Amino acid sequence: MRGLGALGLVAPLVLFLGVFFFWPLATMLTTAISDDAVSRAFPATAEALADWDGAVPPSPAIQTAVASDLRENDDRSLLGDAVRRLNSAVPGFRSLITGTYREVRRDEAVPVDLVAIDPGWGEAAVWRGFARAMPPYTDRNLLAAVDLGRDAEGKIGPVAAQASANRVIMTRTFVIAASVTALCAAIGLPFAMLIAASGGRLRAMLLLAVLLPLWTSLLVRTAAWVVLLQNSGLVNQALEAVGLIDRPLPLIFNRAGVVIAMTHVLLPFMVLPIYSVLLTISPALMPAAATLGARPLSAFWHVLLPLVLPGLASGALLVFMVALGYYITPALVGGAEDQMISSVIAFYATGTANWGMAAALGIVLLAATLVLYAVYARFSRTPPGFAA
Amino acid sequence: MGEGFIRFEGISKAFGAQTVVRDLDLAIERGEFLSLLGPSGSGKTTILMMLAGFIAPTRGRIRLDGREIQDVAPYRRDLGVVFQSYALFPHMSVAQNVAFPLRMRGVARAEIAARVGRALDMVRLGALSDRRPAQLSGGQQQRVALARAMVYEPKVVLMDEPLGALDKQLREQMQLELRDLHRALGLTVVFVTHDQSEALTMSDRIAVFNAGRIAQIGTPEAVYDRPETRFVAEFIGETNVLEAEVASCEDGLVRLTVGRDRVLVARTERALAPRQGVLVCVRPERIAVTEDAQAPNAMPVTVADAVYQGDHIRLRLEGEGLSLIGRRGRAEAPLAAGAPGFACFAPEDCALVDA
Repeated sequence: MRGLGALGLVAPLVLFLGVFFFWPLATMLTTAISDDAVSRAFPATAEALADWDGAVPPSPAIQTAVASDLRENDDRSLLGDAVRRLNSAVPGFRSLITGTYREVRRDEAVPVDLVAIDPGWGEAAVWRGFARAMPPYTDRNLLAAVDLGRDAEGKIGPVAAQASANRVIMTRTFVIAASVTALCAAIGLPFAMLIAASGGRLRAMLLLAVLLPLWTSLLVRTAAWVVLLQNSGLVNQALEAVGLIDRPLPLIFNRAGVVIAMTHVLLPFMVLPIYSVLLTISPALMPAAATLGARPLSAFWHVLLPLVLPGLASGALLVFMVALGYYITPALVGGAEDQMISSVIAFYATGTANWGMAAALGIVLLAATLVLYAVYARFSRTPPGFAA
Repeated sequence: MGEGFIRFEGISKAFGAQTVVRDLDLAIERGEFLSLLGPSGSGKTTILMMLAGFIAPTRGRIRLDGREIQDVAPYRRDLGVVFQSYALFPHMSVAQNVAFPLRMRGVARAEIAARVGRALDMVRLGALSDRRPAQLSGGQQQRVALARAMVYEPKVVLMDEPLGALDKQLREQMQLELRDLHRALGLTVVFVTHDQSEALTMSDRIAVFNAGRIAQIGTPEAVYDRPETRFVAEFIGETNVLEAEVASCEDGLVRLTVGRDRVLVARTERALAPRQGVLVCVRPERIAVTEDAQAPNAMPVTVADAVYQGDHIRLRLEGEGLSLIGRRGRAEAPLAAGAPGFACFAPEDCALVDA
C-alpha cells in the first residue's frame, strides 16, 4: 500500500518525463530512420520484390505487381511522397512513374510488360533503386547528416564536396560554442569573484546585472547588439572617437558579432554556478594563503582556482550545451558563414519539410553532445585538486 | 617598556567616522606570549589584522624587529597566522596544507617532506598526514593550522581566537598544549581572545582593551589582582564593587567610608586625598563569612542565597545597603540561606580604582 502511494507521488514526474522527454526523443529517432513512403505506396511490389533474383527486367509477376499498385492507388499524396523519395534515389524516376501511371490506368491488361510501356524500366539501376527504397527503415538520413551516402552498389562513402556542408557546419557549431564558452569563462570567473567579494548594495547591483539578460527577450537582446555593433553603432563610434581606429570595425554579420552576442546572452549560465561555488569557499582562505607567503597570483592558482573548478566546469558545460543549439542569434547577427547546425535543422524542418533529415541532424548533434558530457563526467568524478 | 620586538607607535585606525583603535603604543618582547583581551568591538582583532597586514593603519607605525612594516604586503611579513576558522585548504591533504608555506618559499622537495613530518609530529598528527581537513575533528584541524603556521619558523605567530570554536574541555587541553609549544619553541605569540580565563592561563602579559584603547597591560596576576580601572576589574573575573569615600590615607593604609557610616580599611600604593571618591573592588573568593564581628572589614550580612557550583558554593550576601557575591570552599562549613554573619576581607585583598 505504501509502495503504491509512493508510486502515485512520482507518477506526475514519470508522466512528464515520458510525454515531454522520451516520447519526442523516440519520435525524433524513428523519424530519422523511417522510410516507409515507398513501401506504403507499393505494398504489392514490396512483397514481390522481396524475392527478386536481380534479373533485369524482373519477372512478369513483379512487373504486374507494380502495375496493380499503380492502378489501385487512391491516395495521390502518398504516391507523391513515394515518387519524390524514388526520384531522389534514381533521377528520372518521376517521369517514369508518371508515364506508366497514365498508361496502366488506361489499359488494364494483365500481365503487364513495363519495358514496352517505357524503356526506362529496362535499366538495372531503376529496379535496384526501387528495391532498396522498399525497407521501411533507412540509414540514409543519418549518413547524409555527416556527409556520407551510399553509391549505386550500396557502399558507404563521402558525398561530393559541394553537395553537402553538414560536417563543415557541425564543426563550425562546435568551434563557435567552444569560443563562446572560453569567452564566458574568461569574463565570468573574474565577474563572479567580484560579486562574491563585494557586499551590500554593490553585490545586489552586480547580481542584477547578471540576471537582467535572463529577464529580457532573447530577440530584444540580440537586436540591441545589432544597434551597438553596426558600422555606425555605439562601439565603432566610441572607438573612432578615441582614435583607436579610423575605419569602422566589421563587428556585425560576421563571426565576431555572433560570439559577442552569444557570450552576452549565455554569461549568466557561467557566472551563477561559479558564484554559488565561491560562496561556499571560506573567506579566510585567501588571507591565510597570503600570510603563508603566497603572492596574490599563486594564492589564486593554488587555492582559489582548484576550489572553484567544479563551478567553472558546470558553468562551461551549461554554456557549451546551450550554445550548441543556438539559432536566433547567429541568424540575426551572423553572416552566411556563421550559421550553426540549428539553422540547417530549421531549414530541413520548416523549409523543405524533410523531417527525416532534420531529425537525423538532431540525433548527430545529440550524440556528439552526449560524448562530450561523458568526457566531462569522466574527468569530474575525482574532484580536481583532490588527487593525492 | 623595553625596546620591543614588535612595536606599535601611535597607531590609529578609523573605518569611516568610527575610530576603532586610538593612539595605540604597545611593545611586545621577543619570545613573549601576549594576549589581547577585550569585549567584541574593542579593537583587538583590528590590531591583529594590522599586524598581519590585512588592514592598513590610518595613522602611526608598526615595527617588527626594528623594520617598519605598515606598508609591507602580508605575504612578505613572514608572520604565522592562525585564524578562528582555521582556514585550512579543503582540497589539500594535511601534509599538503602544512607544506604549502614551504612550497611558496621554494624550499626543496626533500626538505619540505622532512620539515612537514617534524611539524606534524610536533602537534601529534603524523599518522593523519594523508587525511583531508574535512575528515578531522575540530581539535585536529586546530593542530594542523598550528603546524602550518609554525612550519616555516615565522618570527611571530598571531592567533585570532583560535580556540573559540572548540568545546570547553578541548579548549582547556589546547590552551595547555599551546602554552607548552610556546615555551618549547621560544615563539613570540600575539593571541586575541575575549575569554579571560584563556588569557589568564596562557599569557606572559595581558593587554585589556576597551573601546580601542589599552585599559591595562600587565601580567595575569597584576591584571587580575590589581585592576586599575573598574572596566578591567569587572571584565576579568567576577568582582564586588563598593562606592566609597577616602577618610584618610597614611603609609598605604586607607580608611574609607562606605554608605553613611561604615568604615573599611584597604591597603594601596596609590596616594589618595581625603574626601576623594573611589571604588573598592573585592574578588568573591576573598570574601569570607564569619561570626566574628572583630574580623577586618567585617560587615553584618545575611546569606540571601547559597548556590552549589560543584567545586565551590556561591553566596549572595545582603547587608545594610549593600549586596555582595562571595565564594565558599567545599571544605568549609556549609551555610544555609537566611543565616546571619559577617562578611569580611583583608585590607590587602581589595583594589581601589577611580570612581
